[in-house]
Amino acid sequence: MSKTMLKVSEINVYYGSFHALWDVSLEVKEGEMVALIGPNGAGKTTTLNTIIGALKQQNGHIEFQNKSIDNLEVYERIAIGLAMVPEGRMLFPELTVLENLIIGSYIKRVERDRMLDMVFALFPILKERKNQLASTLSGGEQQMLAIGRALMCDPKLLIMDEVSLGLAPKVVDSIYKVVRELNTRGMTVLFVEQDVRRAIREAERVYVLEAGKVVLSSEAKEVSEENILRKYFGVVESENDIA
Amino acid sequence: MTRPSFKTILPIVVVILLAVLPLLNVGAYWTFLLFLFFIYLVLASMWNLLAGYAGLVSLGQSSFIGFAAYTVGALLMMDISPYLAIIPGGVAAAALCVIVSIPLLRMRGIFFAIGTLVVSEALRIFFTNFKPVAETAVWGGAGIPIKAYISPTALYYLALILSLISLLLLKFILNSKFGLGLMAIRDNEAAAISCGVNSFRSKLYAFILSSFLTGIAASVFYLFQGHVEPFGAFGMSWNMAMLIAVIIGGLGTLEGPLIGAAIIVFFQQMLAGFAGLSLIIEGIIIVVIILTMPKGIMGVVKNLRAQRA
Amino acid sequence: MISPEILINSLMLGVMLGGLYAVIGIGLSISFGVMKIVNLAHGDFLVLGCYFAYACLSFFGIDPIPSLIILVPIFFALGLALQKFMLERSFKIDPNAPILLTFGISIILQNLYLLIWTPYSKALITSYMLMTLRIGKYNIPFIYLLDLLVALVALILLRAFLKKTYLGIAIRASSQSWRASQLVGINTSRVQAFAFGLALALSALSGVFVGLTLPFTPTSGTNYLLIAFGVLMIGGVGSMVGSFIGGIVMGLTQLLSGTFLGVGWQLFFTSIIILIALSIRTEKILGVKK
Repeated sequence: MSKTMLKVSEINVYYGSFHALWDVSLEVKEGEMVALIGPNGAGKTTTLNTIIGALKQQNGHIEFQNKSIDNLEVYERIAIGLAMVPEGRMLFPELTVLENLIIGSYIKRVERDRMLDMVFALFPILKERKNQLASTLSGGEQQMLAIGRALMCDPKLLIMDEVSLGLAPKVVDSIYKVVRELNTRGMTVLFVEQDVRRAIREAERVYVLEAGKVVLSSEAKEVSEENILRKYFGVVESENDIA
Repeated sequence: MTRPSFKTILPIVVVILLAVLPLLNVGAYWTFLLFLFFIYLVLASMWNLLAGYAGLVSLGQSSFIGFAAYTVGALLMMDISPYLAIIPGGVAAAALCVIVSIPLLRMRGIFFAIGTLVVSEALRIFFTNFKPVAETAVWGGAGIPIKAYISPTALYYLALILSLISLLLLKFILNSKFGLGLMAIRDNEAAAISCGVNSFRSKLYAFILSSFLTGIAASVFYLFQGHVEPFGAFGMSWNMAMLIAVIIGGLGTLEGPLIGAAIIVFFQQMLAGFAGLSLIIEGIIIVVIILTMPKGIMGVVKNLRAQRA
Repeated sequence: MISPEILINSLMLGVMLGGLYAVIGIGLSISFGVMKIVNLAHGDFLVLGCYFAYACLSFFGIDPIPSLIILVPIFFALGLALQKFMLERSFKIDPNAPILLTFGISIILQNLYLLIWTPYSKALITSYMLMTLRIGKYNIPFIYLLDLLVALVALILLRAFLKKTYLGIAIRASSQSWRASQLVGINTSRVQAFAFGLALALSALSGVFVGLTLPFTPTSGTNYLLIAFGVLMIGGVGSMVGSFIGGIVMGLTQLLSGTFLGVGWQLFFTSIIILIALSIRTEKILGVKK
């Protein structure tokens, strides 16, 4: 039986008086690739931000490798093996591609050259542009840099928030190809994905979040895109659906 | 008819007391202290209007103080009656304000603060070099005398009336649409603009008004002082006093400047013998207050009231 | 009329002094860039360096330059402490609080100097400070040359630190995106403290050389704060080259206006330049911050 890497237990998160997450629980086992999907505003990014420590939950617990991380700051959680590719990428605009990657290895400096080689092997375009300022890259290249930077600290759990946003399908394909490769090599991945079909295809398990609550937790192969869209996203596919 | 509340009667009683005070033969020292209090009250209230309500932290109010003072001095040298020189002093300050707002209101936050500081420094240096009168006069010629034959009592009443006017004006403004707009700008400028508040114009009016009344207060003060020189007028001491008074009393409250001005006058008199010590202690008080009770004394009072409720 | 020799002499001195001014500005730039707050007591800490060195000289006979060995670490530690115990706390209370806090500190410092050392101007007087070198037709005070040298070395070392070391890159990263810095594991609070300590250490360094070059009074701090601001506005945040240019502009303004109009007017024209720079550049500087 594989070990639990991340365990989120019944967390409640508030923005002021707005109750954003209601008793949300999820679990990611070692080596798994888990997707978190849901309509806009469901609280997916809120969940990820709470896991990484940018938001504090009101109650409930978060455990990483069976140890509580509730009291750790963001940078302390990075130090124990979490890494995040945030929504909007959050690159350092005035630093070069290389500098963005180097600073990514801030907490694992010894491994820097090895990780750099790995990232350049996964994303050759970054090596080409290594001395360019991050702000001059295209959208797809920026996304690759964001992922590469997150990888530089050799994380155990990679958290990705909407990496496909604003990118051409082909570019997204190549990005997920890399992620799949990393997962095959043993990296645990928790990702939020807007594209339901892609999420079901790439993940082993899915959680569906709706209005701050987990409404479905299932193996990916047991759900279909149409069901999810209809039941949870309120999307009507054809006239036949209107019973 | 309902009985007027304690809250409305008390200020009226106080004002009447203050008005008859000089007639009660309490001595020149006390009239002087109250005179100072009124002046500091106006200056602090105006600084509070800018910083606490419009969100403009000004570190250069001394620009308007000094400029008004020199204007009054110049007018007196032209044999104009001191009473007639006071308003022009305020107008001169307001005119200066209009001119410097052109560059200054393009700056925000800390840059605005530094900008006001630069203006007052520039004026200080200018007047130090300008030397409008002969070397034998005040401060090697950089200062000018303000020879006004007004009695301290007359100046006392002028100061009292001025502080009443400015307090009432402030109260009126803050309850008006203009005041609401200012507070909106202070809290979130972008949001205020999207609600239709003309940010630039609101800030400009607040700035001009505060500089006008600051100038008037300065005119009255320097009529008492008898002379003006660049270091005292354009230097940091006025800025420090205003800032200290408002921070201690409570930024963004009406009562704050009242408390703060009283404390400043008290401190300065208590420590009069110890030169720079009063300012050091006031500086320490600012640091302590910002770290422990940033809303000043009024903030503590309001918290206590809220807890009791 | 002003002879061409005097003009060229002023130009050279302006550039050399400008180098030193660049160092004064870069300290403010680092702390502003990383912490988004301006230390209004920046100039007063520089003057603290002057007075410290003065005390070392008059009481212990220690020459100002060797006294840097003690001064720089003390100031660095002072910066760390200030950031950790006062600035960080006040920033959490309200983003504008640090302005008032540092203003309060400025008041304390200026009046402390007044009390201890009197309002009369002082200078760090040493044998080499009075030396003049003759280069061609021009007499260059040795100290100005030293200022330029020290400035260049400091700026080059700083640039190397910010570009090549992890901490240096972390400082630059923190000034560009605080959130992203946390995501790569940077303890932003510690980095901010270090940046402030560094800024104060640079103040100690520039303070000593300023004290050797020009006389100082308890209120000189205000002047140096404004000069640092001028450098920051002209040169932009965190740029060595920009700060150097900014410093030179300030230095030239000061020297040239002094030559043409007299010593008293120097600071007036530097103020005007700062005002112009502030009105033009505020948008740009704030724009980068977003």
